[in-house]
Amino acid sequence: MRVQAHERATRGERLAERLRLQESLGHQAQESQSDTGRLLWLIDQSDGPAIEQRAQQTHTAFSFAGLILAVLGLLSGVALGSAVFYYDGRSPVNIIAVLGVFVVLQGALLLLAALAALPRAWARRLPGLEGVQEALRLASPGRLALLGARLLPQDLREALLAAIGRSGAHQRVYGRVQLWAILRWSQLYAVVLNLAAAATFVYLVSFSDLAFGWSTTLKIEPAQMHRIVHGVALPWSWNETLTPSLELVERSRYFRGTPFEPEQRGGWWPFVLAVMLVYGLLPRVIALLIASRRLQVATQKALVATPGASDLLCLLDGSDHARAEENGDTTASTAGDGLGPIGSGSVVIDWSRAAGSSVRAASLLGFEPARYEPAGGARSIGEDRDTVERIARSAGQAGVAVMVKLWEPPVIETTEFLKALRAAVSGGLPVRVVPVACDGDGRVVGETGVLLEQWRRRVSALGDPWTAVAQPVGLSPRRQEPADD
Amino acid sequence: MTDANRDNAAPVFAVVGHPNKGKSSIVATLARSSTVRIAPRPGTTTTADRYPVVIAGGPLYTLIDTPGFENARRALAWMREHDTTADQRGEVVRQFIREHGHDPAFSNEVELLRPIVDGAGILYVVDGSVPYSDEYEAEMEVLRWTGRPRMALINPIGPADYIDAWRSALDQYFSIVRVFNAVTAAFDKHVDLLRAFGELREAWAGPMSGAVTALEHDRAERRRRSARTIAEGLADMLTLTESRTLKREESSEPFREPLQEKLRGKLRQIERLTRRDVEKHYGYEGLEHDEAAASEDRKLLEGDLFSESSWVLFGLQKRHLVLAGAAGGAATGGVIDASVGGASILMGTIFGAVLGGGLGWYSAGRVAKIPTTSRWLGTAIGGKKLTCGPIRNVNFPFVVLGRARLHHAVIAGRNHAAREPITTNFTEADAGKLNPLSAEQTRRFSRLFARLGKARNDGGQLERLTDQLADAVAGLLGD
Repeated sequence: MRVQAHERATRGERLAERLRLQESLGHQAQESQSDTGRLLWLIDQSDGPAIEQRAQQTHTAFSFAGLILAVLGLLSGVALGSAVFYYDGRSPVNIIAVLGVFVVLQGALLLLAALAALPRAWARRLPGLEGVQEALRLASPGRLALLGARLLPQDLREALLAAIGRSGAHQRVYGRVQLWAILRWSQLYAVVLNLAAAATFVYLVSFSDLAFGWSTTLKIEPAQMHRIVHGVALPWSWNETLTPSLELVERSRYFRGTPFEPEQRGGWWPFVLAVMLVYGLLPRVIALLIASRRLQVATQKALVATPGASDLLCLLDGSDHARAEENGDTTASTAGDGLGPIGSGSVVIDWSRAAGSSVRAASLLGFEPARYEPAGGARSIGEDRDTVERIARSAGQAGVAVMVKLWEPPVIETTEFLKALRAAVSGGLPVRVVPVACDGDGRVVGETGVLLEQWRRRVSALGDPWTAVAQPVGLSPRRQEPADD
Repeated sequence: MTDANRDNAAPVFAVVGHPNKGKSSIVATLARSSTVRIAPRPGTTTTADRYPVVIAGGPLYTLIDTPGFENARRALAWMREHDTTADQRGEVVRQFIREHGHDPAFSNEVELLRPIVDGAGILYVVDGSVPYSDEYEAEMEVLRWTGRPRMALINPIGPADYIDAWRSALDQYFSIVRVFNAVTAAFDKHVDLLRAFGELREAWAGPMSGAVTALEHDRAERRRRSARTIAEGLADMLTLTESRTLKREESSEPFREPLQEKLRGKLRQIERLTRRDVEKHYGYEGLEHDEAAASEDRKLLEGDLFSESSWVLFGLQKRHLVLAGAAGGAATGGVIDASVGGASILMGTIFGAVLGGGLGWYSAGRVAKIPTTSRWLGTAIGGKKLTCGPIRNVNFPFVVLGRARLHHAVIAGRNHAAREPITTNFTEADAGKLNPLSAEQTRRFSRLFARLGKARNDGGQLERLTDQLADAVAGLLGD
């Protein structure tokens, strides 16, 4: 009883700490108008007393990462502007190339970004789209932030990588948060790039004598070209000074190797600037705003789905979860993963006869399971499937404990079973993998620390924060009892 | 490849089993390869890698290290769904491989079954230090479906013993079940196991018997080369000197100790190089020799050549030293007797034996003092030469020999599955008992050592004596 009272006290302190922290970060988020404040709370919440410092470091690291992207965007924009508007007096700047870069290419890139952002449910309907999405996300400039992290001081770099790493390990809940964070970084990069390109253009127009013309191998007559230009200028058609006239289009046509008159062809620049702002910058600003909003929404959704959030909400509501613990006989085999305790309402799955019988399972776990189901081992795949279906129908809110042999390494068969179980039960139902450390005679088998790490790594790779490895049972002699079969 | 072709080729064995049960260790030991990746965590082996055992140009047999079963029950379920008759099960396994060649859920199963259906024998490895579990039955059943000759190896990785339970289960699936610890098994166990491989299939009996003979010859050759290396090292150490020229007015005293230390350093270096060469003879390169991190038992081997404990442990006992000293003295005195044509009526031999015996008594348990002499170089040069060595201490070569024998025993008894630094199971008490020399052996070595010390300026004699010493050392380096 004394142990249980101590655990409750510790748990209360932990929840109180979280509450204090949430308030602190809430203020911080409001002040900085940043979504990362909430994100930080999510990814750092179980890190104990040093969390505030780590959260601050992660926040700074995220800001630095954004700054790195902005600097890269700036450099890329200046380089792009200088390349597209390169003029040495021999050939004018080709309007066709300008339209290609700032209208066609920008539009295509934006379309790809939209494809990458499509919800999973939509992507599943089109065969192959998920693979394309994955490739697009890998190629996103937002990922440059991770490369840029190498430039950060060690503590900030570790904070950023830990945050990203943890998001990876909890892909199921944080997947969209991670996606929108990267997409937002991408849009930030693109906005700065377009601004820098436009600024470079204004600089070149102001301080040098640019000349524009158009030239193409395709059979396009001046009248057709004028129609194209007119079409492009539709968004600002109310302002005629921003749209080149047919006469200017006719006079601006040039052929390589023939002389041209640069002094008459500078009239294009208002049109070019409008193209850059409307087709290059504006869509990216809109995309940045959308990505920021989606990140905010994804963060809020992840907050609700994060293990431990219910504890916090209960605490905020004054209905402490600890009260429920007082009414039920829970075991001490809980870890600090936010999934809550394994208690008497839990369903127990005995994987490959790790416990061997319901009586021994109860002895090892320290409570009477609501239901005992054997699985794995010599049983057939069909029998396991039936087991999962039965549990899906009858599992309450207390969660599922899957007892496994600590000394046997986790294999695909085990993780596939856990995936099938998760797919069958509700998304937020805690599934605890409970390693059994001793054989039927109570003898501890193998090196517990190394073996436990194997299990944690493999289960963590499932990317499901509601499935976690608990502390091993069967290490304490008082719990070791011979198998009854 | 047809079965007939397979019969003519060197046998191939696929080492399979659950993840992290010591498959790679078994392969490393039996293929005598330190290149096999061994790690304490599962999933280190992801592809089937071939390790041919080649001696005298031709492969004797090939071992294939495979990734562990990850999804055996599901694979078996698929095979059962496609089962027709027992004679077609091998074909069902082939079909499974064809249909799941790119399925990540069965990548390990495909990788490990492919060499088996191509004709490899099966070595199924389990860990005898963890309890038997029925989850292994699907794996064993899948292997039975292949219809290939198979054998089970119980490899006890940890200290616990569940071997009996494993044997009871494995006997139902495998015609041969053996216990084989990949890290500690001695060479004769390797040979027994290879013979058992030959029992798996009639066509393999001849090649495996030939492989055993080749391996035994190879082992003897490695021992012979090691003995030669040790003898050469001893000869170098017994004849090594270190000199320095001083000016006429310089005192030799300040240079004496640094010169002696330099000589000791060179002697240590010769011992180190000798050990490296012995390790190379047994196929070990780059073994760790970090004295600072040495455990207590390892310090016994890694301890300094000139430490007192080394001399107490590896040196001869007092009565043997007297014997050795007397034999060495007699050999030296005998040379004098011979030079005077017997006129000394063997007094040289007698005095030499008494003097040598006395020196042996005196030197018991003492670290050798290095003789240092100073000699005038003549008026023309106008200086003097300070010379250290060679070491004449009766016990010194026996200490070197004792240490070399212990090192050889450790290396020869080591398996390629062992990846930790060199360790020995010898206690201090054991070290003294390690292959104790008989009186006859002590006399023989003493005579050889004494003559080697004197032959340092005679290349031909040195070579002959080194040959004799190599033969004598070879007689000591048994398995």
